[in-house]
Amino acid sequence: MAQSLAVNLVENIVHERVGDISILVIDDDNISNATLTSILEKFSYKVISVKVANEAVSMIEKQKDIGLVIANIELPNIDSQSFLTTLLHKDIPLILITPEIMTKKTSDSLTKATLFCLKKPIFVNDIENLWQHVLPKKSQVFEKINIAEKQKIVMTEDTKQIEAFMENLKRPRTSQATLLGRRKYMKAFPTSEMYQKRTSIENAEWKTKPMCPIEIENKGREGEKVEINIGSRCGLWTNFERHMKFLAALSILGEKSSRPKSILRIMNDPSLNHRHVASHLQNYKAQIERINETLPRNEWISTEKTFKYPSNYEYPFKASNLTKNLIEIFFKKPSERKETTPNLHLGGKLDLTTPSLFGNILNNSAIEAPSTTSNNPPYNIPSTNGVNHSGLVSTSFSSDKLLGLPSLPSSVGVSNTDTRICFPNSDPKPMQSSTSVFGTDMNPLDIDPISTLNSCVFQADHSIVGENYFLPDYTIEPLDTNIDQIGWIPSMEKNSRNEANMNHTDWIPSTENYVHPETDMNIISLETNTTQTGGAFSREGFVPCETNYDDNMTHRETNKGDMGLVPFEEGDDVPIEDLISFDIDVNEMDMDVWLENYDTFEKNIHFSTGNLENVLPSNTQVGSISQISMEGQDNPLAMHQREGMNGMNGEDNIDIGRKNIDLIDEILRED
Amino acid sequence: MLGLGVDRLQADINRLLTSLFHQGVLDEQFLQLQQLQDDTSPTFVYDVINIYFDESDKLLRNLRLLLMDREFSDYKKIGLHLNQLVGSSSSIGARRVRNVCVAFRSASELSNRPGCLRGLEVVEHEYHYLKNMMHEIFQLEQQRLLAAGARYPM
Repeated sequence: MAQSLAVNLVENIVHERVGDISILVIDDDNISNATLTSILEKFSYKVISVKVANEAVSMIEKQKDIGLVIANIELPNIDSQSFLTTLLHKDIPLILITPEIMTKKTSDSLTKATLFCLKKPIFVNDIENLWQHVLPKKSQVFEKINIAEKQKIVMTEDTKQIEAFMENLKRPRTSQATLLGRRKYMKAFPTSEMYQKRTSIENAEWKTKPMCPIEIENKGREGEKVEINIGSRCGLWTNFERHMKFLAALSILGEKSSRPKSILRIMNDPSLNHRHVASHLQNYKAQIERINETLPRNEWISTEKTFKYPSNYEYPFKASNLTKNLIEIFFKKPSERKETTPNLHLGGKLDLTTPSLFGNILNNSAIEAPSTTSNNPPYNIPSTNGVNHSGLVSTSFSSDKLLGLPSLPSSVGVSNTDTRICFPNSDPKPMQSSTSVFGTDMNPLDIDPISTLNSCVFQADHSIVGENYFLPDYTIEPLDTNIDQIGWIPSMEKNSRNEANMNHTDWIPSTENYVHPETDMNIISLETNTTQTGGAFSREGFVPCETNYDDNMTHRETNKGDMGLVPFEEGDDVPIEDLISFDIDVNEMDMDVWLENYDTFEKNIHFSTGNLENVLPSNTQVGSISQISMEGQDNPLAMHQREGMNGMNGEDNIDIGRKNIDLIDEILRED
Repeated sequence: MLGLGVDRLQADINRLLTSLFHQGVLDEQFLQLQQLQDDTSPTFVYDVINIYFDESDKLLRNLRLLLMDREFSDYKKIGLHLNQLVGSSSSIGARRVRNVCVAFRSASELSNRPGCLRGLEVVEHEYHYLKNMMHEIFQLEQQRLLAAGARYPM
């Protein structure tokens, strides 16, 4: 028997009908009946189809050569005793088809009797591999490998069962010789192709099609090493929530320190084990790679020379980095700024792995090399001497296309040639309302990690592009409010609007969303912004110019109401990739560097140095930024004074960020 | 001359299909259907899709009758119909129809009458759109066959 089986395998593994078997299909849906029949016939099976379980019983009795029954799990009488006993009696394997929407619970007896299950819609690939189940009754192998008792039909992540099944397989059975014989033959002949095809199919489908854990049985039979994860993995991660948790964990840990173990710990999900997470992580990364590759490349692949790219930055964006930069901008004379650290730079290189609305817009390199903006570095706009309004402001994005660059108002009073203005990096979370990167109001970390973890939506690091995202229904606000929104700090209303827009906009990596090289990286905010005077520009700060500070102060006043919490909706219709957020881990090294830098701040502060000490991030919980910034506390400094400078270590970056921003905010407002 | 017609028709058909794929109206299941068509069943796709349209017409008509009824309260029945519709739509590869059906279904699970009505409208809209497109494709296909056949007169 094994011999002839081997011969069969050799000749035509995939399409050969093993023995003269007809297949009985029981389904009441005409369409799937038709498709399934057609598919089966392609594999040269004879197909008989019925619609009712009772008919099936009689058909089985009548026809002697039915080798397999494929039934729709939702049929009314499918688990009737008569049906099942007939099957058992005749030794006919049963495969179930589950419709997309399950309405009934399957009965135990049914699950015990069944060998395999498929989910609608049924693909050719599923049937292709079906032949393994369909063996001549004489072979007897089938019965012994029947693991039905060990498995559940409905896609569950029941690894214990799978393991039990594995044990089962290993246990010696009668006709083990046949089994072994079969395995050996399998190995010798090109069934490995089958296996590879199967694994590739599985790999391709793992995300989309949860497969029954019983799949593993097939692998076992093929004598290949059975990965417990394969079958269960598919089912595991189709649970959307779980995947969200996974993403959230990834965000928290950051790219660099995302190890399965820590992810697992964070996720705190009892049904996962280390291997699941590891393989999922691997797949996820691979998928990211693929996405990355498929994003259109623009001509502006920059070279190292053309953009300043903070070397100590890393994506994802860290709160400590944000505040570090912020402090630098505010408190350092431009000439003293480090070349390597862009001032307003938020976030590190843009990791395009997650498609974002801002996507490539912010990947501009320095304006000086407009044609070579890359996708990666944060947007840098070198200042030009003197405020060159037009130079910076005029991106010719049409309003409905522009996703984002807030107008770099000319008054990028960055009058020093070597200061760089950087746009906060666009973060791949375009769907979130933008949070101003900058500072004071910003809370990069307006992200409350706990809540966002729950909602799996990370706000943070949103690109600056506050209001200036031009989403299709964005309406232009009256002038003064626009000032406030020049990108940096989106108002709440704006946020919600943007959010609404963004949330329903799918990220389509079309070129229109990218900054056009031809535009020379000129960014136009709203058309109205071009009329902004120097004072109008940006908020907090880009500009170290003294005059601007005053203006900023006033502007900030008006904006107060807008500052603060950036609302985001939970459960938005956001593609999973977009929910990847930046990292907020506490990095002690960064803190040290920051502290180091801080020393040089003191002399250069525009306002009273007395306040400076208090600007430092402190230990105490500051509460939500909105509280502080919006309510304009009377004596924020007093509060800050309480806080020491030194207790930073180990503190959660979010708090640090918040505090920093609050403090800075307060200070600036003081003036 | 007639040969050219074939090419043009084929191009039209392809264009239509591609645009449907891009719009998400059809998905890969439809491709599988096409692959199943061969010499032994030269009109497979046509047959299956016609079955689908017949069934779905009936289902949609029933749904409409149910919902239009003043004393309507049987959301379960709607759910059943919808399940069927979902199943057959996905077997065909009619992704958009399937998706709006799922949305409709969730409205019916919540026993939300106006939601159901809206859902029904959307489903009907999508369904009819698909039907028209399919009819057009079939017509083109027929013409193409004729043109192709005429190329080699017996």
